[in-house]
Amino acid sequence: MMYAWFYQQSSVLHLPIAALIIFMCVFLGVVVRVLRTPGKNEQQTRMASLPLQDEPLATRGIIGGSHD
Amino acid sequence: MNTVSITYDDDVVRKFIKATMLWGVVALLLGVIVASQLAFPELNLGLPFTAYGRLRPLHTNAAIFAFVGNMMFAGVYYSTQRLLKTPMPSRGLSLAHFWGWQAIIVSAALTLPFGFTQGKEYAELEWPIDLAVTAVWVIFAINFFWALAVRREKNLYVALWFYISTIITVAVLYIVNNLALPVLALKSYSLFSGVQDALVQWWYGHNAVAFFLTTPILGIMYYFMPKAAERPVYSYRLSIVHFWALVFLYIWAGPHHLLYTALPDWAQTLGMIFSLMLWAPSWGGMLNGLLTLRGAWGKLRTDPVIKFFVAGLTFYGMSTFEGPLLSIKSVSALAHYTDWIVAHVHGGALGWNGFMAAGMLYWLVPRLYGKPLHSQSMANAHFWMGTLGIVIYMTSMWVSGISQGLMWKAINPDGALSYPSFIETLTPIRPLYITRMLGGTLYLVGFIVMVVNLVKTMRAGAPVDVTVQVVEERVGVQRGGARLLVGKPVVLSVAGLVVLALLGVTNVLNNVIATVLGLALVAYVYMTHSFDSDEKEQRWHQLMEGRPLVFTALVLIAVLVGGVAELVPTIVTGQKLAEGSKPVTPYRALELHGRDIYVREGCYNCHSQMIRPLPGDAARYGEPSAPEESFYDHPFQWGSKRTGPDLARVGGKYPNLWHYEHFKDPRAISPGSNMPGYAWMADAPLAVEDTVVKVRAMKTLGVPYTTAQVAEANADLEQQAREIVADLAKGNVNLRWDSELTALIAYMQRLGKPGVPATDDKKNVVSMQGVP
Repeated sequence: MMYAWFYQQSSVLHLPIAALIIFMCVFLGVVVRVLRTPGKNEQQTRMASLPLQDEPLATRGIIGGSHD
Repeated sequence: MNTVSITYDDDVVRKFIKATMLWGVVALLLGVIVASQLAFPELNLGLPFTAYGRLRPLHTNAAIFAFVGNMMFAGVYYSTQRLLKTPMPSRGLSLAHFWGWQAIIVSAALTLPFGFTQGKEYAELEWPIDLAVTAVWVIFAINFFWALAVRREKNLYVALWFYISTIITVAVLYIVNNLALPVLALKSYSLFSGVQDALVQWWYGHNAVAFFLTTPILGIMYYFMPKAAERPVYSYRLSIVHFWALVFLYIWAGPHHLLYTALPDWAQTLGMIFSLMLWAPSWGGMLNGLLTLRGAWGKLRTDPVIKFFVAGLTFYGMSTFEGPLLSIKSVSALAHYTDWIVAHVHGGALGWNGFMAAGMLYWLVPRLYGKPLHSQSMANAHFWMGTLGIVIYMTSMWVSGISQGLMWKAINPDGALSYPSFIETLTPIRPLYITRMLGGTLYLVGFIVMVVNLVKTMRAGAPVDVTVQVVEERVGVQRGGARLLVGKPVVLSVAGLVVLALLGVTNVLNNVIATVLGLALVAYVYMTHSFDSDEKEQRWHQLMEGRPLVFTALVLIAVLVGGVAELVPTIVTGQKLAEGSKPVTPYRALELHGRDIYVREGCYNCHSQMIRPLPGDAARYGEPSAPEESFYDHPFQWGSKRTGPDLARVGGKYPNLWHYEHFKDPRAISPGSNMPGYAWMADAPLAVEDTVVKVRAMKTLGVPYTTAQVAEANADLEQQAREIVADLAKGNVNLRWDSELTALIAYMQRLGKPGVPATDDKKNVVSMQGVP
């Protein structure tokens, strides 16, 4: 009932929804392509590892220990 | 290659961590208190400063700005120094930032319970505190960008992009939404009114969620998740898509808070469509975070940090699925104003923000104090108490919200409402309010267990100042930034937006459709070209990562496009009286005072003033609210929740005596009501001396008071007040004419009425011609 009422009031609603579906498909397509494109970019690999470079060895693994 | 020894300034990080723990407990405790008040209204205690309407803003502000704010700053300061391989450039600025922020929180705690509020959700703080927030934010920005300028790592890691977007966007949002005319030392009127104010407020409100509660935490996730998993982020390239799509799309989504209101349809539809689009980048980011754990899922069993991060990301995924769902107009018709929204918000706040904070703190504290975590068992207990608490909280609010929505719109075959009295829709959900209170309490207990665990860890150790050797290579200013601004992705994006803008100007009706289609095209072209196998295109983003100024400029443009597209047309066109509309006169002086009291008491926390064009709303409250009805509302008071009924047309529905008795003891008039009592207001003297100042301020803002009306404001106030007390006297009630309750009753009786001219009709009719 509520949906019927809503769609009666929105004659062009299907157009933005169609556009939205196109957007989602395109976006997901791009994401899949990004993830599946072969080849490594050295600079990006280095940047992705940046958070792992900054910790002095002395403090690594400190969370592993515990008093209990 | 020269190396240099640097010591990070982690003292400020430790300070922010302690503040996070303190304010986290305060925020959650306040949450439990206000939840208890909804279940047991006697807990309002009948005092002004303990009433739900005043404490709920304290809870939300404490959760957002005090708890998440301090957590965010701790994470930003820790990670920024390490990602840039430089300590913060100014210890003075770091300390000024820390102590300034704490002073703001204390100011909020001292002003909100005493009713000093702007009356806009999550923007309640009054103008002097707003100025302080701006100043402290500028200090933070200077400190951060100064660190970027003296960095030893040329390219900016993805976490820093999110921090940049936070700093820039929060500044824009906060300043625009808090534009107000100061009236008294702690009282101001919003520069905008009605529809304009509503749009600006929810552009701010939604993006406070986006750029204060989401983007900085995503930055923190991109830094701490790889560290905890001891693996690089799953896909750096996906993080680029995630970042740009998120910051561009988020800013448009604000109007989904105003579906079925008097906001123009085109803005509502834009808000809905962009909210749906947000699904994609939000889930892209969530998956990127979760997949970072590839090959390390075993840690989920043993490492509390990973547990909290994974659960936090899962709640993020759930919230960012539920948010767009709630933005669909037909879903909003059921869910808006109900507890479903409360469930959604707390899934994000407790699940995403709370758990990410816990994960970060469990990771940081042992390292900053050089001791292993005091107890992993306590951390595990915290995790399960928190998770169970959220599940109990959200489930009860989902059931409550959907029940409310269904009861409000239920109509019998004869066309009458199935639940004609609002109270009939409140009493069935009371057990769910008690359940919610228990869920929140469980979460609070878990949080306290974390605080005890971390404090014991701190006490067992001592502050550790980390010193590292880094290559001494000052990056300096990178040239060629201008060339990047005319790179293919930027040119294509700008060209697409220009075409869309032209389409919008020429054909308003098709603007929404064209915008969506065009954006899909632009996104496709941008993304495919950015990640083409062509090395040149790949390097474009890498080059930009090495140029913070260019990067910041592009972020600013990306976030401004949506804001400008939605706000400027609404503000420039102004508010016009539609043909055939009923003329509305400005509030009389007493009504204006009453409105200020309504704002002060935070009535908007439970009552809306916006009747939607839906059958259930129309049957219960009357014809839909029109834009002109809030022409003179600085600030607007449409509200976002109906714990009590809508008040847009309450004027004239009940006699003055009913309001008097109801304010004194709500449950005596409406058994089962959970509204606080305001008996004290009958003896509270009205600040009559501020009348002229207030009316004059409204005139300055464009409300069409005549000079004579300003001059005669006090006389008119007394006349109207004496009429009300004379009417009450017929019911053997003796109320002083200059009490706050008299003013509040006057305002209640005005709601939904076109208003009675204060002096003579002619004067007001002429005034209406000049409505801005």
